[in-house]
Amino acid sequence: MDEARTRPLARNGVHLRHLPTELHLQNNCPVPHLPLEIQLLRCARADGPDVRANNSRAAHSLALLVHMVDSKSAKTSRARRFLRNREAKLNENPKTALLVRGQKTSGLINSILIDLFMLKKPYGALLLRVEHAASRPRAARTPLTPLTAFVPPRQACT
Amino acid sequence: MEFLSQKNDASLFAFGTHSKKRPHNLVFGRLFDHHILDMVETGVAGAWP
Repeated sequence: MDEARTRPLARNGVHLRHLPTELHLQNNCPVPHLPLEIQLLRCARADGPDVRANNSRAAHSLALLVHMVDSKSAKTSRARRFLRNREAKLNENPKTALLVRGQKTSGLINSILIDLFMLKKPYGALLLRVEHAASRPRAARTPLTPLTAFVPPRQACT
Repeated sequence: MEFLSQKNDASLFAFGTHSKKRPHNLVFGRLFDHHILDMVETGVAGAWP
């Protein structure tokens, strides 16, 4: 295996020695000019042995590989920082709230939206003039999800 | 709404409308991964400053 090509993988925690040899020595990958990790992924997904069943370290490496290939790649370091900031964090940043005025609103609703915005101030966005289909949910070609009064909480969310 | 949340990186929203049938309507909602998770539609009966 070419040392220079495997180094970025190792830096991201993917250790090829954990993966079975038949996985990363295959030459019958469909597109040979693709980056090494994508070739590996294709091999792993097509008819390669399922390494996850009996080897947890291999499973970890494979999962990281899948993440690397599936995640968006940024060209500049600024974009990379931006995407890294959007990833899931251990301590999440405060949630931002959108306060949207519909197509037609009363003064009461306007003042309530402004009050809510003032309460939420550093983490809020007040959109009083929305030139988008979202401001006309009944006229939108793709309807919004139907309204339900109380959706029972799902398992994943708190 | 999902487009707007993606643009502003927001996970909560309040949407205010007013019509004859539903006066002073206010919809609160949560989003997960820029998709609507749930929404509650409320009507405002009165508000005091």
